[in-house]
Amino acid sequence: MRSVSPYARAIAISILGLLAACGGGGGGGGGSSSGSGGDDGNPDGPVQLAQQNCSFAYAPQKPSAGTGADPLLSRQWHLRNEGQSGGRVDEDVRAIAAWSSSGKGEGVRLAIVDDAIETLHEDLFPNLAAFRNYRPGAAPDTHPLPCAPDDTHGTAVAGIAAARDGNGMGVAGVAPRVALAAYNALAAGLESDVADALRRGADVTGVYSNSWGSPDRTGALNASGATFRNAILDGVALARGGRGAVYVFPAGNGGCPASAAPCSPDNSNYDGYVNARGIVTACAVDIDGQAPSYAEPGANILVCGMSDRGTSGPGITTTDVQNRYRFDFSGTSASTPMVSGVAALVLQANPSLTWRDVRLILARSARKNDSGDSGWQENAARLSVHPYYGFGVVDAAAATALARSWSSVGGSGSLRSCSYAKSPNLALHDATTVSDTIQVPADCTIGNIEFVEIGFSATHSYSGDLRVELLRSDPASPPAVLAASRTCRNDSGGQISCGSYDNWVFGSVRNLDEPAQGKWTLAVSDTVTGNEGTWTAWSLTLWGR
Amino acid sequence: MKRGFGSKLALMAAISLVASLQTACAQVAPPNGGASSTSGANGAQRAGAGTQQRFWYDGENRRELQVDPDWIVDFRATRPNLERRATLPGATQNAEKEATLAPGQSVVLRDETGAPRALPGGVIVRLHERDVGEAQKLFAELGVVPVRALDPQQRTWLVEAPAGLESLALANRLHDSGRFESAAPNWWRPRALK
Repeated sequence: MRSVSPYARAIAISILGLLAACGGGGGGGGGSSSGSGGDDGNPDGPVQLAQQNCSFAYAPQKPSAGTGADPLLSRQWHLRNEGQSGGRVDEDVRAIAAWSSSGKGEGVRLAIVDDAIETLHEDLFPNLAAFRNYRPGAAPDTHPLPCAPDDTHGTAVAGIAAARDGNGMGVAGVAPRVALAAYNALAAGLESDVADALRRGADVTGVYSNSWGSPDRTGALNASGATFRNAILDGVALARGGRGAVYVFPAGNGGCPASAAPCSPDNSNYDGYVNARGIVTACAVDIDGQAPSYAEPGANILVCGMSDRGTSGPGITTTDVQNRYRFDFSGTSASTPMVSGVAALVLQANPSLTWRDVRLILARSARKNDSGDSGWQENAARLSVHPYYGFGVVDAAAATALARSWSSVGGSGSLRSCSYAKSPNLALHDATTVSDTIQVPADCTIGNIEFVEIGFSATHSYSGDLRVELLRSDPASPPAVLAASRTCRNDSGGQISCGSYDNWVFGSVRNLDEPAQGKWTLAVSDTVTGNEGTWTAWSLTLWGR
Repeated sequence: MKRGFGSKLALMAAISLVASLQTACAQVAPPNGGASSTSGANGAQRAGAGTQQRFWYDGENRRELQVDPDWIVDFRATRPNLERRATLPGATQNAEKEATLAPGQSVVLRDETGAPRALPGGVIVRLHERDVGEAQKLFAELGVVPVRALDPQQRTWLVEAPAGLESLALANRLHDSGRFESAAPNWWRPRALK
């Protein structure tokens, strides 16, 4: 089934191509960009290839265009599930239904921030609007192409969100006419590259899709850092003329199926990237609409896309390197670009929407999957929410319909907050639970919460012993487990520290649309004997309107 | 793409090395039992004599780190990665090992969970809003050389510093100057593809 592109074949005998791909030597180095996208690569210009030693060879030519139906569309059950790959009919993101009523993402830019991306892929290049190469030694305006056989991730992710439809080739993305920006910001692993990419082209970029984050299955806290958080806050405040960009990140694959033992199950609230305000945290559900074996719970999870089961059964069909296609893409890396693609469709349906509008639309229009599961509970705003599914699976048709009639709640400038802090200094004895309450007064006039930040500090010789839970009794809302008691482990099963709660900030969307006023209680349990400590401080910051 | 599933992780090499390193350096905390300090415990402690404590500022929060004397990251490579370091014969102390680093190489620092970081060079500074129009003047005054702005507003900048602990020292000095909203090393960190 897999095809080899004409240009890939041609390179085998092309001296020019060989020189370009494997000639060695340095490129333009780090460049001197202003972060404004001024020296991004231009798809309309000649193809510029980085000069570096690579396993893959690419010719400096553009792939040919085509027309006609996408031959693998029927394999893409995540776009429209008619039972063609098994599973439950209609467990999909309703993308094809949305295309006919709202469009396919035309006029919206969606950036993939990842490792290498095959921008010259026949099914990606037609949508390519901008790119930048962060690989050390490569000129910034060269294509951020894969260099080694394991460089497949970014290409697969890009195809799910933005592969071209109707070109007679391969697959279709969720937003198949979106303007694609491709940034391989993880190529060198540098903080500066990530910070740059997350704001690159911000004047025109509606969605930044990120299928990466903290290491999984350790159970350990992993902070993101102020540089990252500032990049996100800048993006939501300043991108698109102040309407802000939508940043989508994966909840992670830190669940522990039996086959993975010993491992420490994650909660996405241990991941500093997806606790950050401004992030849409994306979970995954499988072809049956249920949580995959690798799913993690988390109070920061907003919505899900589709992915594999983690055990058996179909994965996601998308683009692969060397102009090929694959049928096995998996994890929240796959569900994240689906959510991003739906966000792009929403922005096309109503370009005046802000980043806050898009989050609210995604949550309110989400489909309640696995509806019989006992994890579903209504919050005080009567919204159904689930620890593994957030508000459910994105529904592109419902989201774009809602977008068209949506009255904007405003952008970052009109977002209000109320902050409170306490220093309870409560001893954390073994096998006991202590709690402390913040009474949010009436002068906090937020009637609709959009995001909650819970800062937590405790001294404890093994922080994994602590269970941390946020409770609301007035008005009543389901509890949110922010941290479970656990033993943290490395990949080999060895026990490690879980990190320390030194003003660790948990993010939560569980209280979406609830009023801020009322009692907020944090309960902390030391569930394991042997280590003790003190709960020194906590804070509560409520964001909304 | 999920870890442990599918065939390829783009950062597989880095992550597997991290895993093996964490295995080698794992602090064997008491099995939810006997008291011990887990804070900062990792391979650096196991290494004994070479242990050195460092810190950096994440915004206003001071974060402790320890130098792991047994590993480096070589930023002269196309794809920087963790490497077990080769040391001069007989070099057991940290300072002696540090002397064996070439320009473009960095020591590895670990936070308390054992997660590695390294210093590729450069410091990321964020200007106070009032100083955005005066960036060049401020840089000149402080003797730092801007490499590039990291945002369209030119408020966040990468400034020059050599790879290794010199860049950590500069970041802390710039933080302590009070002239920036934040100053942090341009960290290298492994990130997981999902």
